[in-house]
Amino acid sequence: MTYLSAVDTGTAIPIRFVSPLDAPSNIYYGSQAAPSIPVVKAASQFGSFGPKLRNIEIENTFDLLEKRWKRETMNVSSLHDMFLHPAYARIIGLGTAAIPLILRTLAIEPNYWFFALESITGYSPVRKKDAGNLRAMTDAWLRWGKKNGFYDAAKAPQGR
Amino acid sequence: MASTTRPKHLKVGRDVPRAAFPHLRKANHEITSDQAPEYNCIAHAADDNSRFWWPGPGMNGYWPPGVPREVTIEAFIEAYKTIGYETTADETLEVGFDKIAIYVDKGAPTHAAKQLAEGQWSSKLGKNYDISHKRDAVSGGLYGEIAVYMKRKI
Repeated sequence: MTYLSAVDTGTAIPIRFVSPLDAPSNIYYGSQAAPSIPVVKAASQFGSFGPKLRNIEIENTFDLLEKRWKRETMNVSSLHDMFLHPAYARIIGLGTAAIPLILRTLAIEPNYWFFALESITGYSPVRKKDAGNLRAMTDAWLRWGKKNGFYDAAKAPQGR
Repeated sequence: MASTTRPKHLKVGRDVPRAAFPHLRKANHEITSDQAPEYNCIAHAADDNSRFWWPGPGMNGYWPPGVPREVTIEAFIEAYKTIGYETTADETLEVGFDKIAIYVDKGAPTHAAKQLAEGQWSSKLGKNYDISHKRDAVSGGLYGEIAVYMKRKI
């Protein structure tokens, strides 16, 4: 399955997925030198014009998109296909408002939200040795969320 | 989901889309695990149920060190070579060998299955269940067709 089929030419050219998802400069990892493109570090960065963390409309949209993404990628093993799913792309499109919602759902039910978080923030707190380890990646992002004001475990439903 | 409530078979059309698994029938498969998002079929075929194997993007999936992080059949063959597999044209059951099958759709790897001791195959369906199945039960839809078999000495 690939969601590039809607825009391809119908020819049987193997899709090698080397760009843009794999562009190495897309994401700033903490151990690197400071990035030239600003990254999202903290909720307070947005001041009063920042994400409305309890915006019910965004929450409802997120919930619908999340359900659709989970349902339609349940049997998919390709992370590229998971991340290219239209519902996942729309969640990324919600921008920083989606960060607390993603972290909340991540705390309840770990899933592959890391690419969305990387795409929105331009950052990844995941250590290279933890690549593919769902629990370790989840923990790294929840720690990042708590530290930077995007996620409060005490207020999260069934959070940890 | 507790194993005591685990269904024995997938209901095609409800648990999995019919178009994605056109050959899956109650008679040709059985659920053998709980649902688990921690690993996928590529990891399961490599006997690693602790990580999600996929070559990216970025560091989102585990991929054996030194193997190109690209979604090509060549990279997947290289990945399994790191744990002792070599390509083979013989998919039949051979005593003393593990065998795996790599599936491809539109030129890109989508799935892997491993052969069980009795000749059936075992697949992890994405983040869903593990199933044991007849060889072609998961072909023809979401996963495409088997492109390569590999084997290693036990």
